[in-house]
Amino acid sequence: MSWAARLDNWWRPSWPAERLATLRIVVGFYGVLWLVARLPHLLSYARDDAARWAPVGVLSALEGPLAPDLYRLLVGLTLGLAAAFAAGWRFRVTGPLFAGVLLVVLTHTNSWGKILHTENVWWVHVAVLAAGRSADALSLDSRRARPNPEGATAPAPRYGWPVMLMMAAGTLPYLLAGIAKLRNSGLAFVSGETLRNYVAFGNVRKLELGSPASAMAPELMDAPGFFMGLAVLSLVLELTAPLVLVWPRARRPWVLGVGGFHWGVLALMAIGFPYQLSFVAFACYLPAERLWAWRGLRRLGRRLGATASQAHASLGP
Amino acid sequence: MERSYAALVSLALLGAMVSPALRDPPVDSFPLSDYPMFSLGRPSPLLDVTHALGVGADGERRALPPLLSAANREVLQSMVTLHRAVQGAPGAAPHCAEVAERVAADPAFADVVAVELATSRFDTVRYLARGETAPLGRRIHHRCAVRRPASAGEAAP
Repeated sequence: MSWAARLDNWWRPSWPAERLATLRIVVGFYGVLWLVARLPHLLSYARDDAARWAPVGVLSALEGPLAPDLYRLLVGLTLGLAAAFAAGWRFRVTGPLFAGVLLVVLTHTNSWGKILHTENVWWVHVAVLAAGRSADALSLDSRRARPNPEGATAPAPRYGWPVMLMMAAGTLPYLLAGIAKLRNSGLAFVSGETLRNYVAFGNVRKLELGSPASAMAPELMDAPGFFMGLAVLSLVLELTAPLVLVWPRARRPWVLGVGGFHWGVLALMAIGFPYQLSFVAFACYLPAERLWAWRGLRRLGRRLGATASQAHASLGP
Repeated sequence: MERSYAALVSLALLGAMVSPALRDPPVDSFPLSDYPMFSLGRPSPLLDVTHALGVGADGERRALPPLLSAANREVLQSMVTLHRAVQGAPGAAPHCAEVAERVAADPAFADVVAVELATSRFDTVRYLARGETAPLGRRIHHRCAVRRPASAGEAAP
């Protein structure tokens, strides 16, 4: 087999349509919940002082924020599109539309002087799912159009590469963060002092800006060994992230490690990355279609048409 | 066709994601970033923070939350707003008045009689580890009174 064929087999594995569809449902459902929970916060940006506008990304060219009513309309539209995305309703239109409108709304929220980095991976995953054939199974579209459910969910490369791309796009931010640490701090980062100072900075800054901070951090300030261990662990998790693409057995330990890292950041710095804390960000590293074999979800899975999950379970990573 | 589409989308997305880190200097934006968080060397625990303080009748000061200090729920964005307010034109006075107005409308801060926009310096490690929360230094940019409408009982003859 030529190297090109090997590369193609690796990047476009024949995986079941149900895996990609399950990821669409999980990521879309997360989006609905996130948007509902954050609605008051998102809408508050419509009233923000235009003098504070500091545009980034796709809104860089705008001299001022979006008109309040237009912005409110986009937020409402995003919620509706998130539901359509999760349900797989007219996905060829609603999928890319959701990715596009979500990009505008999230960019708008990040255009007030401080980029928050909490929704970056979520948006990238939405974009990948929108670009793939994520509604060929377990969707309103597939129910309407499919005469033969088994045929449509047969494993194929077209259902494999978007999952591989979601994995790669999910690991890349960690690799870049690890490289940034080495570039900016060198190996001195592993002494733990920088990390301890960041934890102290973050917490005092929050307290002095009138926000809750970590209850655990004060207890650990006098434990330099703890921060050294944490610094080494974070660097290892970040720099080895791409390994999960070529070594399937590394996926579960890496997911547990990085998920634990985010819970640690929440405990130590009161900074929450909800997409990662919920582990939705890591669903693509696992055979997600097995979700429908869980006792509590079997009935829902059958209703959605998840018939092949057991049959294809052995094909997963 | 399918293979070309997969290759095109994959290369475009991954290339775009890597691109901020390859620029000189690296670029932090949304949704593409070089993810610079926690990467710059920080050998000193000293922190200068610009914040809004509520001053009680007894002279006690407490930090005002982002919704009052900057009309924003995001603590880091409130920090930037406050920093800009004390640095740029038209200066700290109008922002202080805005904050005082919001404080006056919030019953949870009924004891606050004045607002200060200040930049304070803290030793963050000693702050957390030893409870030394008093600032090492503080520069008050502006102070303004919190004016509340007189209540019905007070206004009656």
